[in-house]
Amino acid sequence: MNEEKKAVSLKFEQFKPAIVLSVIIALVGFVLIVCVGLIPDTSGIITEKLMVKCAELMGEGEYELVTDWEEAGYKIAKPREVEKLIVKDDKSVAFEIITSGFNKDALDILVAMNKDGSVRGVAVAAISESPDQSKKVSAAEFLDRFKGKSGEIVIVGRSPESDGEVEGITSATISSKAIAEAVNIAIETYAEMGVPN
Amino acid sequence: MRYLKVFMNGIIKENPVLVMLLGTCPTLAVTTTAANGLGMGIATMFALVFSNVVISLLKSVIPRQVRLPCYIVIVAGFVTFISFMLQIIPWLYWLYESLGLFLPLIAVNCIIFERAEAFASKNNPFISLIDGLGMGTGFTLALFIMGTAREILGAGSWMGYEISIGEIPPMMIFGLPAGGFFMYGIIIAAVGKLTKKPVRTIGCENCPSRATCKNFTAGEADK
Repeated sequence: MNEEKKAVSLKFEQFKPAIVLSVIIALVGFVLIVCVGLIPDTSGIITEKLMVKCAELMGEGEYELVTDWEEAGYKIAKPREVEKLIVKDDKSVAFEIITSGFNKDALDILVAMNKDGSVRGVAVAAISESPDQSKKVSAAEFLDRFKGKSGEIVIVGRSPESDGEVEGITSATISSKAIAEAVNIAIETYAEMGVPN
Repeated sequence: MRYLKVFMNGIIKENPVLVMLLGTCPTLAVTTTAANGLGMGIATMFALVFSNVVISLLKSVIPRQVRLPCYIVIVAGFVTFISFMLQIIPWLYWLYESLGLFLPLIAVNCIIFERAEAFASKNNPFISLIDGLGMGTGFTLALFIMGTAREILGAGSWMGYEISIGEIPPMMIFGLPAGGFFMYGIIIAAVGKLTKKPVRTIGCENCPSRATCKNFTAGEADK
């Protein structure tokens, strides 16, 4: 009886370091998630990476981040799907939208809009899909297919037959669809928010 | 009195950079300007103080075999938090960009581990906090002094303001790694002189170059 007890306690001692380490890792991770989740990003800072993409899509100029949409004169408050709204000094706008592809929240897409509500350009600001797919959908060749589109966009597996269709990338269909989703959100939001002149 | 002694210990007697020669990598890399040195020092101090307190609180829980992984996780947690805060506070964002890679590298800063291992894991939380503050202040001061010297000599400015020393033009080399080592050596020597650190005498027996030393082989120095 006594021996049995001893064996059990020995076993626990052996696992104790691993358990304590796991608990500490879990705790630190949890506290960080809570902190990052609770503190809202209202800084109005456009990161350098995003700035480069903005310049690629809309040319050089002064960019500003809009944190309070209603205060800035738009009809609606910031929808949850849109991460950031960036306004250039000539009043043209771009949306940063995060969508899920194969991985959750894997695609950070920047969609620039024309004044008439059509797409001016699409850029991938950050992507964490598998390398092969990331490379394929980040290529200008694919992103340029969205230029000038308006209305609902559907990804199809063949050459597009109507205006609302965009040919996806074979073997990266899910990522292609995620980008189309971001573009759709941008087009819809732009129509709803009514850009002041 | 004991607290004051622990605090001053980190600034002068056991200054992590200038006396213990720890954390040389950030010291040389980010001190191209005084403001960068100050920012790096304060960011490190923040991580040092909080990790010291937490490690001191957990010292009886953490098993000896896994203490280093535990310390790394705790420190990395604080560093992640700092880099997150720097990203979203507008007036600190420049620091996030100028420190770049060296900000996440605070997580493996050997000053923090040395203090966790040598002090926080053996003392109570409050005195560990004082120790963290003292060491952090010592580190910040050293970085600030070095950044000041390198910025004035290398770029002809201080904290972003133009400063010129007489007619001497800025010497680019002080902004480069070689000039960093040079300045580091000078400051260590100056601090050693000012604090009157005793010169270490090892005698001829322990001299590393005795094999080639004429005096020793002649048998004169042993006596």
